[in-house]
Amino acid sequence: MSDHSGISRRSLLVGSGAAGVAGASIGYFGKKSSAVQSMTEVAKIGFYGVHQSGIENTPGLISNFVAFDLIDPTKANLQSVLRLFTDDAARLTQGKPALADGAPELAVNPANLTMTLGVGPSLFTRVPRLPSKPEFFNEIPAFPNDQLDPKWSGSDFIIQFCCDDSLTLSHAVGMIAKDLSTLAQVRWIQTGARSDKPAFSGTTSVRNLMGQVEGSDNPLPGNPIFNSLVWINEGPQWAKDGTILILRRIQMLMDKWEILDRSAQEMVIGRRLDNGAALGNKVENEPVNFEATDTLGLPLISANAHIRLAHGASLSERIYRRPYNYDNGIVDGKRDLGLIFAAFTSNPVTSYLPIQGRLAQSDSLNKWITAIGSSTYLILPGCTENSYIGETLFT
Amino acid sequence: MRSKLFATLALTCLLCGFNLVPVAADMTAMPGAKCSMPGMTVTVAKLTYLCQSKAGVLTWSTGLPVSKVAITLTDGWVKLATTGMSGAFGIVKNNTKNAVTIVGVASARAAAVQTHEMVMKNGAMVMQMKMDGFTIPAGKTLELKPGGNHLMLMGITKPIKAGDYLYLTLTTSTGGQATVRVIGKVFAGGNETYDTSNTTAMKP
Ligand code: HEM
Ligand SMILES: [Cu+2]
Repeated sequence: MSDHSGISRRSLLVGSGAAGVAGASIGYFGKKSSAVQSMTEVAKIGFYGVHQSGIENTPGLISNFVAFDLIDPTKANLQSVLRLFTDDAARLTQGKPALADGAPELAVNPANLTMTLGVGPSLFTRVPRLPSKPEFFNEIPAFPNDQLDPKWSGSDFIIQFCCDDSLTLSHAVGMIAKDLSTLAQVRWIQTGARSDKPAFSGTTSVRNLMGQVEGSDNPLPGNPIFNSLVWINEGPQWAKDGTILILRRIQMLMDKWEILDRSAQEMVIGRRLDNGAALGNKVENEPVNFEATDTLGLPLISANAHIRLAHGASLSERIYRRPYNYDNGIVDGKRDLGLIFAAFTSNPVTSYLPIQGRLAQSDSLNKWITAIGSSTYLILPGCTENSYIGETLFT
Repeated sequence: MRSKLFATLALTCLLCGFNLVPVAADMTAMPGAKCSMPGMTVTVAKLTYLCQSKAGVLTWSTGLPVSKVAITLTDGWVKLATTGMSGAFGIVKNNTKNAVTIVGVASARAAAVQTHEMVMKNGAMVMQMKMDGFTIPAGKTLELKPGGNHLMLMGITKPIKAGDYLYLTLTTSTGGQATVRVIGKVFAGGNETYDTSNTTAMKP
């Protein structure tokens, strides 16, 4: 369902045939040496398919998570939202202007734009006569150390925009906000970014704002268990081939983090900062040995290390993470930055909740992070050219 | 069979803001319909009648035998409106081997749908009804867009909201019909002034 034409960062990283996969020296912008090349380069991701795009493909460099509430929560209005979203997304992601586009020139560079729509649990209480939602789909309960702010939490629906170009992204967000303006109100927007460079040569992991290598142990698309971990295959038929997005805004307490020396920082996670190798290992991809001890018999990966507690107790207790960094500048003299933690799972009750439960209880990292927003959405299944996203809710 | 009546229409043009002049309408006896505005179409017993202006008088055309015609409209949309008028746009394609002329358009959501064009009058661009319709050569397309040729929904019967689907039935000069879909979209532009001086029937 993805079609990557031309040279893109994606094809380099995913390595579709190209030699020298993911070498830091052939990064995205390095390739775009001339203006001519960037004019002819068309990097786009297909919109139609069994699943919505924006999940399986490599995340775009920048993102907007835009949360909306219906103004008048009726079934007809929800249907209108979904039709308009589908029509706009099918065009804009392919580098075509939306209908009634006020600035069509801003649409011509798709830049791997994806637009992905998910519905929140509140929709099912607010909109009369919708089919019932899967039992496993609810707001994630607040954990003891959370300091959740309503301005970053929950809404009737969300649209995740990911893109490699800020102009394209702004245009797409603006177009959707205008098109939906009579039907829905924007409650909040979270803007995120990811590094354009792999954390080091030979990996697809990138660094987060704490400097850690992120993505080492993440079931990526192509992994044999990816489909069952991510795509819904139980519960009501309308949700089949959708997925559940858990979106948490997690502030990093950088002032405190920077006090720690490197080895302490590495112990908090259980992995090395330079190359992401688990403590005791040499390279990032080696299977983690949680039993390994030092000469004194102490565990190399401490009892409260983030990866020990986050590691799934079973194969099904795993989530697919697709996070973005956020940086909101300096607020009240303090840096306001962190992680837009975005994870996808087919069933949060059996995967996400046990992980988060362990982390909330004793993760070493908790001293240096605070969750300030939390939302859950059911990302609707994909659609064909003759239907629209969410049509399954109305049949 | 013909009874001539004068009906007063007070439609406010949503796009330009001024009231349409009262219309002297020729109410030829057509089952359930009055020929009150040029561009109206009525289909009865497999014959389509067009409301036309002839020598300043509105009259139903003779019935055109209805058939299907391969005209499509893609990228169709209509500007939101609560009452009065609104414009519909898109790309009309003539998929047949002959030129076709769209002479009438009907929608359940409007009293009439007219074919409009933009013309220069007294140094300003204004829209007016294109009395002879839109002709599209064989295999060619016609772009309907704000500031250019467009379809004008007159006398909207129910507010057009964002995301609404509206269906328009296009009728050609030979009675060919095609039903196309447009979607309601927020749009700030397209506030053209409506010039009715060429619509001869619109004299009291
Ligand atoms: C600001 C907050 C967080 C930071 C900075 C962070 C950082 C990291 C790092 C550096 C790794 C190791 C590399 C990797 O496998 O990606 C990791 C692994 C992981 N994290 Fe987090 N994380 C955060 C929050 C969370 C949350 C909220 C969850 C889920 C509830 C979570 C779940 C995981 C999982 C499942 C792994 C892989 C564990 C394994 O199987 O080895 N993380 N995280
Ligand atoms: Cu007009």
